[in-house]
Amino acid sequence: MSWLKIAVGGHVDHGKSSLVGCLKRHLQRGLYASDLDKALISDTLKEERQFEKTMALGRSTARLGPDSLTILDAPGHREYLSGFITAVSAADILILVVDAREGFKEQTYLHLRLCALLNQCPVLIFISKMDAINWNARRFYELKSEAEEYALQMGLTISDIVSGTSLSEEGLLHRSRRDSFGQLPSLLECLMAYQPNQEPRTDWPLRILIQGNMTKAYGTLLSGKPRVHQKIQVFPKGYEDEIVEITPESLSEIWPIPIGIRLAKHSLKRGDRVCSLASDILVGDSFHASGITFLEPKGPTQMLQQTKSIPILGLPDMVPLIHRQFRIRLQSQACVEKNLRLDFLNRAYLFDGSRVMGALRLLP
Amino acid sequence: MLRNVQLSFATMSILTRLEAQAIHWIREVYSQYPKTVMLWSAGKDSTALLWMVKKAFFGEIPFPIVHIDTSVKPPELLLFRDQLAKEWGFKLIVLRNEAAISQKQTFFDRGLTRMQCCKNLKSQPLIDLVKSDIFPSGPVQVVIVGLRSDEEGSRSKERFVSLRDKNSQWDPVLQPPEMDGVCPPAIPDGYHFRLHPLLEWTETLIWEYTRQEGLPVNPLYFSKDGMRYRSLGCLPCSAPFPSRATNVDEILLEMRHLAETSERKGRGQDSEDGGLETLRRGGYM
Ligand SMILES: Nc1nc2c(ncn2[C@@H]2O[C@H](COP(=O)(O)OP(=O)(O)OP(=O)(O)O)[C@@H](O)[C@H]2O)c(=O)[nH]1
Ligand SMILES: [Mg+2]
Repeated sequence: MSWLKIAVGGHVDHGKSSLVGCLKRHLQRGLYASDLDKALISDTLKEERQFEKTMALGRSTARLGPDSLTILDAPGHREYLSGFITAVSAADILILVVDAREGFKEQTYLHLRLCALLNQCPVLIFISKMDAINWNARRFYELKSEAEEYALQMGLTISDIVSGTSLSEEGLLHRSRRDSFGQLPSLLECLMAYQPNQEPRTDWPLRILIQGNMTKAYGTLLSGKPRVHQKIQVFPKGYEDEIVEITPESLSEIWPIPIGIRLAKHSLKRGDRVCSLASDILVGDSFHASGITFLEPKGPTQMLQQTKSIPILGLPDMVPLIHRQFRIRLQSQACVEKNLRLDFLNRAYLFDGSRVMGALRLLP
Repeated sequence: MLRNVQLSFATMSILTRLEAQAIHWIREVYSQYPKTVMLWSAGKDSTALLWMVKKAFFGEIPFPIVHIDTSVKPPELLLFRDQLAKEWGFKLIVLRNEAAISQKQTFFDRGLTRMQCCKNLKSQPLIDLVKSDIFPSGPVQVVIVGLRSDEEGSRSKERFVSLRDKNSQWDPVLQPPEMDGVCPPAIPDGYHFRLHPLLEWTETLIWEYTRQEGLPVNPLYFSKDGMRYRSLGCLPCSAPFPSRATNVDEILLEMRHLAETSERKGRGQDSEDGGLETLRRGGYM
């Protein structure tokens, strides 16, 4: 596993911060007073403690055996959605917390939808507050099939569906011993067993995102193994050239990899994409996009449905298609691949000139 | 040197990924916003960060490095600072709030609260720097800071890219959304960013990285007469603790037990009313 980034989402008050508090108290032994409320371990701001709600994304790091965890505790309230967008865009896995009594609510759906839109990472469903329904197995299986249905609709993968309570930590840090729950792993077991997709990308086609140029160009190697004298193609201009220098000489095998590069004839620029010749990669500047507007700082959030054109990355020319789907044209600054989902590169900000207004995912 | 603590494969791969993440952010932000400065306290975190900057730009440090001098930093720290600046050959800007120091507007001269003192001697020079004309072409766009989310509560609420107003004030609740690894396309008028590339590192990982890369270490971190510093601050407000660790390997062995208490325990200002959250909302790093 090595390093796992976990986003925790779900509706208001469904028990996200309490769950994160349980994990932190268990994994960072001795750091918190034993009488400190679990949610307060994660809700550290004065305002958050006063109003008993998460208002800003909380980030914690912990060791799990030899591995590392980053836990992102997102706010549930819609007005603080910026925190959830930030969390889910970075996550390897989303823990979606669903209160056993209340079931799926408005923010639960929205968080699932945003996950489908911005990341498409696997979702671990945690049915919380099982103590409050006296561990009613029927209710659990009802919510389980509901969750499976939504995930299917949205094209998301569910990694596990488990249940528990942060009061006794049953089902969360250790298995429940109750009938019909004894077979279910605890949340912590699920996390320990989880293998994020970190397969080697050496054999994939070459793709380097160029970030800038000093004495040579620098950027991030997304896949493939570049070699000196290799013939390559540079998008969006489309010219061919040859690699004459790669730094460092021996590259790590953990992607993405920071890299330096020089070509024989051309000088690379920010936004360029270096690709292998005649690979099946298609790089273009015209894409479909799907997004949400985010009227910050505190305004309402709505799915993007306007018909007017909205500049993306300061680049205009966006013609909307059907609901939440647009056709956009990017100018030479950015270029996005059509046939592969990339770590962070298919995502963009929606910008109104000076303020971030939303988030977009560029679709193949 | 002792090699008691073997770096596991898991740790090496975490260090590689965290370093790649930091370098990606540094390059991304600097390429888009060249009016960047970086704060360097000469402590372990910002020294590791400075090393990553060198790696990001092929051995060069392309932006000014700023050290805030409070006049009560340990002399060993200043010596280490000047030696490394010479050795690595970068432009070092030392900032001091001379007015506050000469008028004794401090904790150690006048009995101001520790927080008021931090504000005068550390926040204020930074606030002034951002407003200054250090770049002829316009105001500072980005300040890179080596803070970590595990240091204390309010830092756990930080973003990689943290929006600040012209007075460097921080509102943790009103931060725009952040797309992982994507640099914001513009800075709102009158605002600037802080970049926190080390946000997801831990104290132990910084030491493991320091050892892996063979980085220079300020001798104050090593035991002298049975005591050493875990976090370096101003003399009146930092206390060393009993330790026998005399090199990085021994610190790493010691960390296995230490991780359970707070690293900043020796720092006075953290325990005062409102503590760091108030200080940090006001522009502290
Ligand atoms: N009975 C019961 N109550 C719980 C459990 N977990 C949390 N709660 C209570 O539910 C309330 C909300 O808990 P939080 O953990 O703050 O919920 P949250 O999802 O983080 O809330 P926001 O961040 O504001 O969206 C608190 O009053 C908790 O005490 C549980 O397992 N069982
Ligand atoms: Mg919460």
